[in-house]
Amino acid sequence: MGSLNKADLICETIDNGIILLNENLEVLFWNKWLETRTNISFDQISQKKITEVFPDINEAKLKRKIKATLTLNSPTFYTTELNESFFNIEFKNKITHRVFKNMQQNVTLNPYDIENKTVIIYVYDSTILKETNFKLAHAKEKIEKEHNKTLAIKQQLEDSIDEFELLLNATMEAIILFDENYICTNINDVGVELFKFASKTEALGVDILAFFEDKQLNYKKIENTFEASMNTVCKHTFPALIKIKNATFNDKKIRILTVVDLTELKYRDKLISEQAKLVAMGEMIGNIAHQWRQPLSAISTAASGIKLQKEFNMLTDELLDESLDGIVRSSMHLSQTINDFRDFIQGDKEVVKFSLEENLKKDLSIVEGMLKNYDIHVFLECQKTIELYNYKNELTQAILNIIDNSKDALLEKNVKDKYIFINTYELLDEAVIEIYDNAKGISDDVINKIFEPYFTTKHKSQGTGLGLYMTHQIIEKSMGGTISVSNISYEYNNHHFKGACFKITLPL
Amino acid sequence: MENSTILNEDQQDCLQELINIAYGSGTAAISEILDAFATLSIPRINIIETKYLNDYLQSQVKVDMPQFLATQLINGKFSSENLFIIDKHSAENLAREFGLEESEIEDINELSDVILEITNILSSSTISKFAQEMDIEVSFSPPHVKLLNSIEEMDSTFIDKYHQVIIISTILQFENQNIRGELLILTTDDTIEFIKKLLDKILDEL
Repeated sequence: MGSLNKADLICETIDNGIILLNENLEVLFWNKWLETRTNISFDQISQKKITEVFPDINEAKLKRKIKATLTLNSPTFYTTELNESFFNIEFKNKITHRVFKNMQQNVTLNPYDIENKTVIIYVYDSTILKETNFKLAHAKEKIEKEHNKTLAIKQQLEDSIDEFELLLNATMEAIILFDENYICTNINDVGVELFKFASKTEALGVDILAFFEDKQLNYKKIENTFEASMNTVCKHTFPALIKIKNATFNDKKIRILTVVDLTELKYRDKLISEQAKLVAMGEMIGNIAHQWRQPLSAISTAASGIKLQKEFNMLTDELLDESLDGIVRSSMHLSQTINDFRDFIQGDKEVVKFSLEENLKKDLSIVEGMLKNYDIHVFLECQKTIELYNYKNELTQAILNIIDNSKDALLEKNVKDKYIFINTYELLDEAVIEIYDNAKGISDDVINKIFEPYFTTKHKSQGTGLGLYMTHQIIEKSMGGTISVSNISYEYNNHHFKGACFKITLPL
Repeated sequence: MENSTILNEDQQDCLQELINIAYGSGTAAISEILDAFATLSIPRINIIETKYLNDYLQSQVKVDMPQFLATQLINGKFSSENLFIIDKHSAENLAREFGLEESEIEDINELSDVILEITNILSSSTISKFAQEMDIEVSFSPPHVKLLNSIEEMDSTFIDKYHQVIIISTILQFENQNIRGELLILTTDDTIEFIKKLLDKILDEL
């Protein structure tokens, strides 16, 4: 096979278009690949100006490229990236996955004969490549859209996290989150400050028990709110109200520990209690004054009687004994009053067993003088057998506060016949004490507030607003009972009365 | 950026001379093809470590304007990569020089095509002559062009594979036209070795 034949064979079998052009753009060669793609035979196009057959070819550009090729003796290019095609070859057979209507081409111009100014043009079908690029670009666009969506969701999530942190830090309580093993995973700013952590990170990973003073605390069993003593990082303790809530998030168990610092509240409570005690002492002194008036006058009368009888030589041994006995009795009564007063002021150190009836009688004896002075009649009706195991003197303080309140109400309302009734009875496993008066009751708008501290309907000079608050604290917090108030109507001695009724229940 | 001692003074001088001759002929070719008087500044040769390439490119390129970046591979023993960087404004003026209509200049594809042509012309005219001087064969791959808003968009991760880059930079200017482009020839380890041997051979023959 001769060399010409070899070149012919290559030109006819190669999977590229080959064109030989002169500087006037006339076609000198046109291979089989082009014949079959364009349906234009070499005979049809031979010696014709290529731009006449393919008018969409940019003649100026082609001429410039040919000039460059020949001048530089080096190839020049058309690339699919920029030019869709060198010339228009419509796909008539491409049916599946068709993206482009026309063949996409890469074209290289090479100098063929510099002297005769001819160039050889190679045409490469780059449709598949361009299609792939096209599909890739589409896929990229799709991914970018998805990515933007993801970014938007991420932003939303970040926003909600920020919002959550904001909420977490806006509360007054310390909020600490734990994982299923009770290891700290998050804590709000209040928590960091309250437990004296240097920073939030210092708190992360800390075991829940480190927050409590009681290291034996069975926190897993606790569901309700409870009071506990908490531990700061510097081992200081403080009282707090605690709630541990279990929750499930993303299939993981989390525990939320809410801590309300009670230091201030406890301090306030203590202050109120001390204030109330002072008020009670003041009242007690008033009571003692009333209480002492009668025995003192009895002593004074007896003493002056003795003196008078002696002056008139009428003092017999019997009279002296009788008078001295009277003085001793009265002195003992005075002494008892002091004892009662002291018991009351000292408060209870521990629970004791006592008879409810005796306790109430003693309470009444303390205020007997005062009640008499104001012409208030007290009716005590007790179930005899009731015995309590509780703080005796605290109950006295509570009862005296209620009686004092009734006395004030009776005087304020100017009730003519003033009564206070005290009944006790057992109901199920509780002792019930009912104390009611005929002072026409408490108005509806304040009846729900009377156990609040510093609440008073009385004139400032009279009421401190602490008496009934302390009574409530004593009965419910200290003695484990309940106290409620309501207005009642009742008949007594064929008269119809209206008044406030305090109902106390205490465990037996 | 540090100049490497990879080429000794004689080698550097020799290379500079060869490049000067090659680029001189390139200028003539461009002027002939475009029928306009173009000049190429005296080429500067820099050898830097690849890790400084991005910094170097940034220092060479105006950052306040979008840039066209055309790349073209040179194959053969002098295997290297040509970068032609030209700002958009210069590219538009260049397109006018090429005889494009104003409507064509607005078409980014037409503009890109002009950049490709000038890149191809610059590569061919300079490197072909250089190869001829060095008596070696080279061939060119079709060039590619990209419009970059900043040079950082250039994907140069592949550069990490090399240690050093020889940068031959020159500035293309047309008289009475506001056209300014920078041509960089980047070549790496193997080619640097080849060039060194070739330079020594030329120096020996002197």
